[in-house]
Amino acid sequence: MTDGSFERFVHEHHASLYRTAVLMTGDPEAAQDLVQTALSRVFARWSRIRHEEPAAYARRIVVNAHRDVWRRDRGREQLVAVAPEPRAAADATGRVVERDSVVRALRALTGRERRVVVLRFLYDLSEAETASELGMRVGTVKSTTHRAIGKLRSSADLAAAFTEETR
Amino acid sequence: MTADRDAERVRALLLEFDPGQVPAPDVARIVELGERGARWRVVDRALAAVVVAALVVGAVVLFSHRVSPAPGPTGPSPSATPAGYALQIRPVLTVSPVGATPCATAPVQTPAAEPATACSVDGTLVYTLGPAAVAGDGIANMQAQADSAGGGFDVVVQLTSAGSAALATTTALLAQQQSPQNQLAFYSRGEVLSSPSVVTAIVGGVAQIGGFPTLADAEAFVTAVSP
Repeated sequence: MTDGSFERFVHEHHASLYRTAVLMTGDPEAAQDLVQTALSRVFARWSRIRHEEPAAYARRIVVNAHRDVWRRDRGREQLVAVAPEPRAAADATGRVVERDSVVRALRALTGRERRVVVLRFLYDLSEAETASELGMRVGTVKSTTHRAIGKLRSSADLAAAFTEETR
Repeated sequence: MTADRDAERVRALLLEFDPGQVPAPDVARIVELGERGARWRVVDRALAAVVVAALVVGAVVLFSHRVSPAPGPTGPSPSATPAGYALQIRPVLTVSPVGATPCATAPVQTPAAEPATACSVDGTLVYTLGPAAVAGDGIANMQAQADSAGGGFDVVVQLTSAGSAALATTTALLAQQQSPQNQLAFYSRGEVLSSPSVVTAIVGGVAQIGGFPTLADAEAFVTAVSP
């Protein structure tokens, strides 16, 4: 059905989408499902968007599709517990500790705060771009960013990261 | 400044974040899901519709959407339906995968009073549709807007009073049917843009088509079906 271009797109972008999805969901399995869903939606529209910005489209789905899940059931607007890490032994211990602490700290944010933080800092979008992508006002993006940084800075999980910085 | 340094630290934490071993993508599964897209999206959005209906008192329903490319140079086509949106809301009679009967290529708007055959925008499903419950003249206004809950964009479809009454009657009947006869098709020029399942009667005269990734996508949708 495709000429291989979609397969190339998947192999190029899968890893970074997966990382974003882990940051958004805090759960490897949920992240994998989310990326699969996003890529399948990209595939469904591939002939139209392949020459535009399919990567940005996929990213929007990862960030926004997650929002749908939360809106569907507000009672569950919390990240699930971080799954046991079966590959921990294979990783450098420090890495695993940092991964868990980042995930735990993000879990303490609201969904909106997490989306803003990921778009502003991981994807380096401007305040205006973030506002447009999330359908928010620029002022709201500013205040949300400020609040989210404050929460992360005072997070016990990230205390080491922040004190190290101020030394 | 401390605030800047904190922002830099957050940036560094995210950029250096290591998600662990990345599972290999299952491309065959992704393609399979994508090809079935029109189907599962209906289910996905039908669930969301329940939430929205509960949040917005009255009857707003969140429909899925498939953005149709604005047809060619989008000049006003004088021969099109006179002064009305090229959008009809029709009950779904049958849905089947595209097989022996290929999708019609001519983007023709079937008159509202006649049954229609149409394909999903991605060309994977064929629908047979009943006569339109609401035709272009039953739509008062369509507007793209940011989703008030933050994230994403919607198209709000405001029906006329006659359109509202017709939709209420049709959806009250559809809500009692089994899938796929409980689906409403948003039909335009030979294509089904979306086909949400109806859970309860829609009595408020407002339909909300949700899930557009950008404002431009939502506006393009409105432009594509505007008179």
